[in-house]
Order: sequence, then C-alpha cells, then structure tokens
Amino acid sequence: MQKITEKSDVYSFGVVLLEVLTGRHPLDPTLPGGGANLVQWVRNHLASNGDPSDILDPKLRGRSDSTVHEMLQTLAVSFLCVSTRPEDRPTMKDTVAMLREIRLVEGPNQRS
Amino acid sequence: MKILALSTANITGRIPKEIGDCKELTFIDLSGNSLFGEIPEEICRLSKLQTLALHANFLEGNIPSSIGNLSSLVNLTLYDNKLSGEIPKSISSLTELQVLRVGGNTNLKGEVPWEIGNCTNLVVLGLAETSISGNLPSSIGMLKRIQTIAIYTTLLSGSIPEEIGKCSELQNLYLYQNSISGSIPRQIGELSKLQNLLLWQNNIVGTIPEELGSCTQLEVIDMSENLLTGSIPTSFGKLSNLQGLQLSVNKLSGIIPPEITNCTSLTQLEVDNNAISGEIPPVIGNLRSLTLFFAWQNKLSGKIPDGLSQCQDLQALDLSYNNLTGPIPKQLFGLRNLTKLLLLSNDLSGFIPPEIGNCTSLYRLRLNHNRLSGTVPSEITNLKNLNFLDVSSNHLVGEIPPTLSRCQNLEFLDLHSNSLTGSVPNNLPKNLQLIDLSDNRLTGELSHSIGSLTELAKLNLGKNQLRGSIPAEILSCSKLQLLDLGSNSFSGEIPKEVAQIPSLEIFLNLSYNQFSGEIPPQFSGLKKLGVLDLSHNKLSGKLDALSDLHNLVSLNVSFNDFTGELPNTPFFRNLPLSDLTGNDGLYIAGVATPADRKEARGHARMLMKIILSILLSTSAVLVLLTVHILIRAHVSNKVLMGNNNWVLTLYQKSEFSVDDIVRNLTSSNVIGTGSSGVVYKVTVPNGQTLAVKKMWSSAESGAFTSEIQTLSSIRHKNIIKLLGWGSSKNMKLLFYEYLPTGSLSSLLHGSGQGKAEWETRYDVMVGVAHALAYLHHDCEPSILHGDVKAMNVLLGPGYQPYLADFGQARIASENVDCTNSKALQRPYLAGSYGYMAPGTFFLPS
Repeated sequence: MQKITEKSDVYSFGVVLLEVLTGRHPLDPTLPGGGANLVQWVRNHLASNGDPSDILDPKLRGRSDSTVHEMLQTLAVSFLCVSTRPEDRPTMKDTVAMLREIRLVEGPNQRS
Repeated sequence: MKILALSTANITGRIPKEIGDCKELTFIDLSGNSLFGEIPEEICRLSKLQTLALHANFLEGNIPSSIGNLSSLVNLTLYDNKLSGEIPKSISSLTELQVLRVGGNTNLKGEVPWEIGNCTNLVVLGLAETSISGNLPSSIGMLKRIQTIAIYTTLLSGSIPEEIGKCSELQNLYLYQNSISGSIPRQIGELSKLQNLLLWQNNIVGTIPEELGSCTQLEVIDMSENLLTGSIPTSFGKLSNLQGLQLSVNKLSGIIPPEITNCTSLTQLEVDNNAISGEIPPVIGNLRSLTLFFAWQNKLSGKIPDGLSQCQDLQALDLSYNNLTGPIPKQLFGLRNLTKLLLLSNDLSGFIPPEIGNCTSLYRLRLNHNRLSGTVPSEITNLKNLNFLDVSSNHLVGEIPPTLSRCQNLEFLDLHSNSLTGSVPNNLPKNLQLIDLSDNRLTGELSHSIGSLTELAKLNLGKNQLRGSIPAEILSCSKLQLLDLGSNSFSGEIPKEVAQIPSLEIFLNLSYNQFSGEIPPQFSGLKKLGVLDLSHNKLSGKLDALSDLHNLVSLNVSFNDFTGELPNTPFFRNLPLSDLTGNDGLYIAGVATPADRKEARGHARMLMKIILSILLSTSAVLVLLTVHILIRAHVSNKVLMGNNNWVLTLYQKSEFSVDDIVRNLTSSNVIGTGSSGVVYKVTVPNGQTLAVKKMWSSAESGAFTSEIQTLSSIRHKNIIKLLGWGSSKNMKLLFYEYLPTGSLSSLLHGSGQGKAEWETRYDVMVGVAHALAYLHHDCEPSILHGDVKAMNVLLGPGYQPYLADFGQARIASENVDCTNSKALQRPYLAGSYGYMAPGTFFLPS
C-alpha cells in the first residue's frame, strides 16, 4: 500500500494541471475512448504518439506558437506529477521551479 | 517450430497474426519485451499450446475471447501489461490450466467469472492490481488444487464465500486492499495448509474466527485496517509457525491473550489502534524472536512487564497512548538492538533509570506526557546514535546534562514543561534542528556558543528565568525559523542580528522580558515573518521598522513605551486594540489621543491591579496559571458567549456577533457545498462579507479541528485566510474571507466563459504550486493538504488563487513513529475521487 505523503498532493496537483490544460473534468465520461479517466486518457494519447496539442482545451487553441509551447511544457510538468510511482513525482518545490521556468523566458512574471 | 522462447530480448512491435499458423507450438515466452498492440485472436488456434507467457510488455486491448480454444494450456501469464476489457468466460474450457496470472493490468474490469470454478487444475490465480469488481464467486471452492489466490488492490466487494474452506491445498490468500465486507467465514479454519492470510485494508466486520487456530501452518496473519470486533482468539496460541500477527486499526477489545506467547516464532506483533484492555502478559518474554511490538493507542493498564527484556532481538517497542503505570523497567535498556522506544502519553512514574546509557542502539526515545520524576540521567549522553529525545511534560528536576553534546546525532531535543533548573548547556550537539526547553526553571544567560548550532530551525526557551542579552552570534543559526524567548528576564537592546536571520519566517516572540531601546531598523527585513510578539517589554521609539512586514498575520507591541504615529497600512489599521494598548505615545494619524484607547489602557491597568492583588494573596503557581490563561485569551481573542453557549474565536478584529451570522445561514445564501459542510455567503451589519462554512454535523469535528489547527498556524498569500470560528453544542462554523470569483473549477467548467485565458490559468496554477510548496517544505512539521482539486482553488477579484478546504489536512511527520506500520494511514484516507494518486483509491465509502 502506498503511504500518504506529500507526493499524494503532488499527484492531485498534477491532475488539476491536466484539468486546466484540457478543460476536462478528471472523471469525464465523454472522453474519447470511453475510459472516463483524464489521467489515463492523456497517458494513452501520448503513448500512442498522438499530437499533444490535440488534447488541449479547445478554448485555448489558435494561440501563438510560443504560447502553445508554454502549454505543452506545462503538460510535461503535469505528466511528471501524475507518475504512478510516488518516487518518480517531483517535489512541490521542484514543480514551482519548473513551472516558473516556463514563462520566465517571456519576461518576469511578477503577479505573485 | 514447437518452442518460441524470446523473453527479455528487447523485442518491440506487435505480435504477428501469423503466429496462429504455427500449429505445432507448445511453448511461447515473449515476456519482458516492449510488445504493444493487441494479442491476436489467431493465437487461440494453437491447440497444442501449453505455455503462453506474454507478461511484462505493453500489450493492450482485450484478452482474446476465444482463449478457451487453447485446450492444452497449462500456464497463462499476461500480467503487467495494459490489457482492458473483462476476463473471457470461455476461460472455463481451460481444464488443464494450472497458472493464470493477469494482474497488473489496471484497466481489466468486470467480475471474477463464476466459470473459473471449472479450471479445476488451477494452482495459482493472480488478478491483483486490476479493476476487478464484484464478489469472489462461491465456485472458488471447486478449485481443489489451488495454492495461491492473489486478488489484492482491486475493487473486489461482497464477502468471502464459505466455500473457500474447500480449497484444501490453499497456502496463500492475498485479498488485501479491496472493499470486502461481511465477516471472515469460520470455514477458513479448514485450510490446514494456509501459510499467509493477508486481508488488510478491507471493510471486514465481525470477530476473528477461533477456528483459525487450526491452521497451524500459518506464518503471517495481517487483518489490519478492518472493522473487526471481539477479542484476539486464544487459539492463536497454537500457531507455532506464526511470524507476523498484524491486527492494527480495528475495533478489537478484550485482552492480549497470554496464549499468544506460545507463538515462539513471532517476530512482529502489531495490535495498535484498537480498544484492547488489561495488562500486557508478563510472559511476553517467551517471544524470543520478537523484533517489533506495537500496542499503542489501546486501553492497556498495569505495568510494563520486565519480561520484555528477554526479547533480545527487540528493535521497536511502541506502547504509547495507553494507561500504563509504574516505572520503566530498567532491564529494558539491556536490549542491545532496541532502536525505538516510544512510551508517550501513559501514566508512567518513577525515575528514568541510569541503565539507559547501556542501550547504545537507541535512535528514537519518546517518554513525554508521563509522570516521570528525578533527573535526566547523565548516562543518557552515552547514546551516540540517539536522534530524537523527547521527555517533555513530565516532572523532571535537576540540570540538563552538560555533556549532552556527546550525543552527536541528536537532532530533536524536547524537554519542555518539566522543572529543570540550572543553565542552558554551553555545548549542545551540533546537528540539533529543534530545541524546546520552554516552561522549565532554567536560569543564567544564553551563551555565545548558541551560534554553533547552524542546523537549528526551532529554538524555544520561553517561560524560563533566563537573563542577560541575546548573543549576536544567534545570526549564525541561519536556518532558524522560530525563536521564542518570551516570558524570561532578558534585557538590553534587541540585537540587530536577530532581525538578520535569513529564514526567520514563522514566529519571533520576545514578549514578557525587560528589553529596552528601539526596534533595530533591520526589523524591516523580516519580510517573511508571520507572527511577531514584542509585548510587555520596555521598548521605545517608533514602529516604522515594522510598517513593511507584509507577511505578518499577528503583531503584538502592547505594553511598551512606543511613540509616534502608527504606520498607515491596512494591516495596522485592522490590528486589534489589545495588540497596541499600553503605549502612551502611540497614535493613529488624524486622531490625537483616541478615547477608546485610553479606556482600554485603563482596563489593562485595572487588570494588572487585580493580578497584583492575587500575587499578594495566593501561591505563585496559581498566579502563573492566571497569567497563562490571560495570555492565551489575549492571543486568540476568545469570547465566551453567554447566551447559547457559543465559543467564538476570531483571529483578527471583526465586528459581528454569532447572531449576525446564524441569522444569515439560509438556503438563499448557499454558495457551495464541500466534503465537510455547506458554505454560505454572509454580509454582516457593518458591510463586511464573509464565507461561512457550516459543518455537516458534529460528526465532522475531525475536519473542523483539522481546518482550525492547520489554517490558524500558517499564512501564505495563496492560502485562504481563516478569520475565526464559532462552536456550539449543535453547530460548528468556520469564517473565511469571501472570494467573489468562485473556484478554478467554475472558471474552467462554468457557463460564463470569462477569463479562462492561458495566462490566467498559468498564474493560478503557479500560485497553487507556491501554496503547496509552502505547506510541504516551509512548514515544520510539514502539512499535507489531502484534498487538492480544482473546486478547492478559490479565486480573488483579480483571479488570485487561494487554496481552500483544509478539512482533510494533516501533519506529515505525525506518522514518523509508524514508518514500518500501515496503521496510521487508514484514519487519514480521504480525498476526492479522480484526483487521488493510485493506491489511495480504496475508500470504505
């Protein structure tokens, strides 16, 4: 059995990231393929070499290449967070660092 | 070709359909490769095939429905793939089948087919880590040759069929981490060859059948984390091969049967978190192989038996949270392998025996919350491996051993709430991360050598009689997050170095001392500090150095000689009067000498007079108690409501009554429902709008206290601010700042399209990540949120994210003492389906 640790929060955070990127509920019965599980759906899509930008929220499409690039990098971070083995998930500190890196290139993000 | 053996050969690609044409094949092993795609239906034409081993690949799709055509099949191993669909019913035609292993395919669904009973030659049935659901079919009893049933970590429900008793060859029954209900059938006692019975983490009720004592081959019984009642069967005494008995986290009562000491092979005995009473059997020393004995959180009474010292291999002993009395047997410290001794929260008395110095393997020693008296024996300094020493909340006297620095591996030292005298030792172990010596009678000055403790994160020396100045060397404690020197007799100016400690983020308490002079201008650098208490000193000058500390949640500068204008910031404007009072020369811009402030000071003077009169008339102990209560009341602004027995606590100045709130808890004001309660939007008479969470029922008091404990002690700009709480017999309420923009979930999925731009989403998630990183890495002990989901991310007017709903939050390191036990996790299993990490899905409800 897996111990409840910080890594359980990291997983859930990864799911929220996927939700933000795809615009879909984590348990979405309308997912293509009938799996209803967002994490599994994304995993399957990437494993079958599908175009990752196909899974982005339709409301987020039609943006500049650099913005799409940011989204795909964020997708990569979320994918790390939902790793099956807790030891493969990054810590939240690392997650913050990776996320900040994504939009830092464009100029400082001083919202926070 | 008869044999195709290509296991772990780095093969990738699909299994060709043409394999079905190799009619002579009897043996196929393609395991441990990178095969993907589906298993071709054509493979089922191989009527001579005896072994089909495709495990550990990336195969997907269904198990071929005509698998039943493989009439010669003996071994079928498909485990660790990505197969989905159900187990084909045609499996019943495989009458020669001995090994069926399809576990590790998480998307494999459906029930264990009833027809499995026809595979009467089956020896191994493996369906673990799949999404198999439904009951274990009663036809399982037809499997007369079955030795191993492994259906763990699935969605299995219903009860274990009585027919299991007919599986006379069964050795291993692994059904843990399911949702199995019902009771354990008595017929299980007929399984004379049973060795491993693992049923932990299910919803099994009823008693443990006495008949289990007939399974004399049993080596491991693990029934932890169920709902078992009744007592531990005395028949267990017949299990001479038993090595592990794990019954943690159930509702067992009765005693630990003395018969259990006949199980001389026993190495692990875990009966913690039950309602077991009576004494620990004195003959427990017969368990000569015992390495681990956990019986914490029960109702055990009587003495700790001396006999435990005969368990020479004992490594971990945890008897905490019981009603044990008498002394700690000195013989225990003759155990040469003992690393963990945890006896906290009992009624133990007597001295800490000097023999403790012999037990040099000790790593973790916790004897806190007992009635131990005498001194901290100097022999304790022989414990070179000691990492954690907690003897707090006892009746210990005398000095802290001056040679404590010999415990070079000590990281946690907690001696608080005793009656220790003498000074803080000059030399302390260099690796210390936490020192709590508060609430003792320590005297003397704080030595310059404090600066050598470069790993120190928390230093609490409050409530002693320490004097002199704070050594400037404190700056070398660069990891210090919490410094509490309150309620001592320190004097002189506050050294600027205190404010230069780079990690001082949580708490700086210098209150109730004799500090004088001005606040050093360097205080303006304490940007991350959450709580600052400078009250009850002789400090003077202006407060300007504090005007920019925007992370402050709580500030108390009362009863000093501060002068000048109060910094004109929202934080200072909202400070409760009680945190400013007692400073004659302090005024708010535009208000020369506010009358109410004078009045407040008058009250305070009156209060001091009352305290003085008590001082003159009663014992010092009582006064200390009174002052203590006054401080507590002052810190939390606690108001006891006379009328409906409401207890109301507000963490900042607010002007509303419980009536103002309760009146507005109507259905038209509901803005949401959470896991633990309904949330209302309430506007109080002065115009302030709050979000008020009403807990579902008093049964939610766990979530209620969890939320108060975590939220009141932390502060972060991306974490919801708890304004206060109210509690009566029938109702529990939590008050938060109201956030008008809804949740991240409504932003993403709601009807109003609004601002779901990428930049907004990204900023929200960075904020949430910061909040979680703060909880995990900057809080000590770290805090787990436990229910991270889009609905729990609330948004401010500018879409600033706030992490909310701490009803499932928990302190991470509370589990430290139980790292080799599954025990503590069960009560904490909670969260939201779809957001939970794999392996935490299996909830009782």
